[in-house]
Amino acid sequence: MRPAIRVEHLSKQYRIGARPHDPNRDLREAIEAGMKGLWGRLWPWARSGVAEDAPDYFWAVKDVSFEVQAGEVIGIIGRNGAGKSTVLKMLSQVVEPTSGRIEYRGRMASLLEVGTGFHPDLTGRENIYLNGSLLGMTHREIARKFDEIAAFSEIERFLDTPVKRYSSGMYVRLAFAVAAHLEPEILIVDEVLAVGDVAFQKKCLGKISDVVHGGRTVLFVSHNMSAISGLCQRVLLMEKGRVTFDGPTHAGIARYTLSAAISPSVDLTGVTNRQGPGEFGRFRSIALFNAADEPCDQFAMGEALTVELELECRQRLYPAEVGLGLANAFGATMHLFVSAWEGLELDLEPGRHRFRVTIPQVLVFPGAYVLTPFWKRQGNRVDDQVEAAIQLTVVGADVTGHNPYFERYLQNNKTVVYCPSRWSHTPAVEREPHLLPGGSRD
Amino acid sequence: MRTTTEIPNEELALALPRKGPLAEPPKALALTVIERKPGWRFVDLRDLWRYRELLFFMVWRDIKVRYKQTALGATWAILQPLATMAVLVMLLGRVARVLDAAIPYSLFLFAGLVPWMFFAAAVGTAGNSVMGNQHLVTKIYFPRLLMPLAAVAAAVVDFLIAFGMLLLIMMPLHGVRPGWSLIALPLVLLVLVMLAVGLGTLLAALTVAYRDFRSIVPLTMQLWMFSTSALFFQDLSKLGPRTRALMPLNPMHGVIVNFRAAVLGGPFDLPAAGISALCAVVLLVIGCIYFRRVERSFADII
Repeated sequence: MRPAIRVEHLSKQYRIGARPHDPNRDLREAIEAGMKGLWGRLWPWARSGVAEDAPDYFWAVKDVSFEVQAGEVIGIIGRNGAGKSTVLKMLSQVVEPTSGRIEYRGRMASLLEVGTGFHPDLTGRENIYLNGSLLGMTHREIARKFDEIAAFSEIERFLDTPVKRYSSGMYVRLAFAVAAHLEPEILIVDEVLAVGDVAFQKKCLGKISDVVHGGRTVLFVSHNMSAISGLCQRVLLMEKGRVTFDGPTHAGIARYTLSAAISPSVDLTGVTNRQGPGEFGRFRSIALFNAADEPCDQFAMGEALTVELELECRQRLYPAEVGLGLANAFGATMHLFVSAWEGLELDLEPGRHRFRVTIPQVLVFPGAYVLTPFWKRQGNRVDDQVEAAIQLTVVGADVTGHNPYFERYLQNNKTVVYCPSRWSHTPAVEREPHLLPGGSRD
Repeated sequence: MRTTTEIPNEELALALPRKGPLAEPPKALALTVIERKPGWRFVDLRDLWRYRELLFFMVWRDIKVRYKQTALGATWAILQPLATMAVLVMLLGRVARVLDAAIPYSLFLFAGLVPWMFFAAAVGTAGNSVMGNQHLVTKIYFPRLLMPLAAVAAAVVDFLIAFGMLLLIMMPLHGVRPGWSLIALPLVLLVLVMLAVGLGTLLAALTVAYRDFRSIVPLTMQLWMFSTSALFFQDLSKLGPRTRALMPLNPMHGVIVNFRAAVLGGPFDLPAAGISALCAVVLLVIGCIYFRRVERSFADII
């Protein structure tokens, strides 16, 4: 089937610096520049003084290609400045591509902003018509859906006051109410859910998901990973203007969270809230690394987690053991990792010691967790322990290969660890009617 | 200030199975292709026609907003030419009028001011139309030409009000009745509107790139008004021969003179009309082409 949207090698280049259409450049400068250019061309040896600034350019979007089939819901994720909004703007014909080609079938409505075209002096009612028309609805369509729109916005009473008197919540409700009643074949939504309270966001997501279930194609840009994973099957990850991932949502989100990390390590020397006498030494720092040994504080289920601990030993301690507790956001300890259990013998001289512990597969359910390092003499009380020394986040991932979507099971389960299990099924056999208990035929 | 709220996972009970792609074969949907198209291109009339309702809404918005929270509302459309007329009568009456003329000086002035005020308002608002709608330009697609067109259309509405005043009140007041010459009126109005659209569109595009035009335009319109002697002098033979020879080169001269001739009766000035018409066509073409050339980078430079 022909794709609903096809994007081929789409690129957008912006010039920064001495732009030919710098809005701050006035006529005089433009004329001067023009004359200088002319002069320079006629008498090239006369060019003196400061050379023209080499126009710096950067590619906001570079060589992006993808296809969307009719009825698919695609999420586009990435950090700020990755180029997501620029791609949407090109799709919406607001900005012209520098190169590349876009093709799409059907009507397209784009919500790059909520409340586009609202004029503060006009009433809510008038703005519904104005905004609806801007979004592509005909007058008749708006009139037909007016009551629905008014009801969805929950502010029917205020429709006859000028919009400038609305609170920001009312404004967003009205704006979204109009946008939610569009009936295009393709819908493009750009981070419009970032405003509004939780209840309203839920309502909007519900409406979008109605659109989705109606078989329309949706392109959805958001930073809200829950919304993305709830709505989209497929996700495009954009980094620095390029699409670096195009595939199932949970994998894309995992990849995104892994790349959005900042150096997660904590200096523990100044921490006073610790347990234990610290006779023999104290922890200096704790740091987290992913499987590729990069600093990371967000991990996908099934990935390896490495913790590096630095310990300042003051007195010789033998036999020592170092441990790490993993607790969830509610304080329940999910795991304990202890060096002595894995056979590491420790005879620690005074000085700085570094420990690295790798957990081959993080299998706790998605959520926020804290690590508590501790160390002690084997069998004795703890010498130093720092509760919740560092935080990490775990994201759901396809650990089993069968799309488990662990997030959906979090409702009442806050302390769950995934553990593989084997299942088999024997279908019920229909009892042959002539065989009674006892074996006699009847 | 935008705040992002994370929805806790349990709130999103979107566990409904997703329907697959459209089950039924899609009906023939219009294909849209977006590509970079360098070079010059003319007006896309089909696109403009498709967005005709939006044009209406934009005009409606401009007019409504202009008169909201004003006490006098639409009467401002009449007060402006009336007040200017009164001032000019006082200032120039002695010098410029012709005593015992068929047409009283105040009516003469008013009849000339009505089209002029339209022209000045249309060009002024059209010039600022893109800048004024910049929040739309960066967010949503519609044919950008709609912006200056809507500005001119809003000025047309005011023109109609003032014209109504002229035809239905001022003229009967002075005992002047419209005659057959009124037939030429649509042609004159066509030239007038073309001039306004052409110049307005050109200025709209220029103002986006060079903000100077925001100050240059009002000043220029003022100077232009004072150099259009046809507005003030009832007897043009009072002016020197050189002035009289150069006057028709001002496209508004032909428009004003012939407008007055059409409405009040009087001699038409066909050569001047010809020049005005030519200027109108040229300006319209240049304005539209330049606008179309520059519009694709509006969102980038605004």
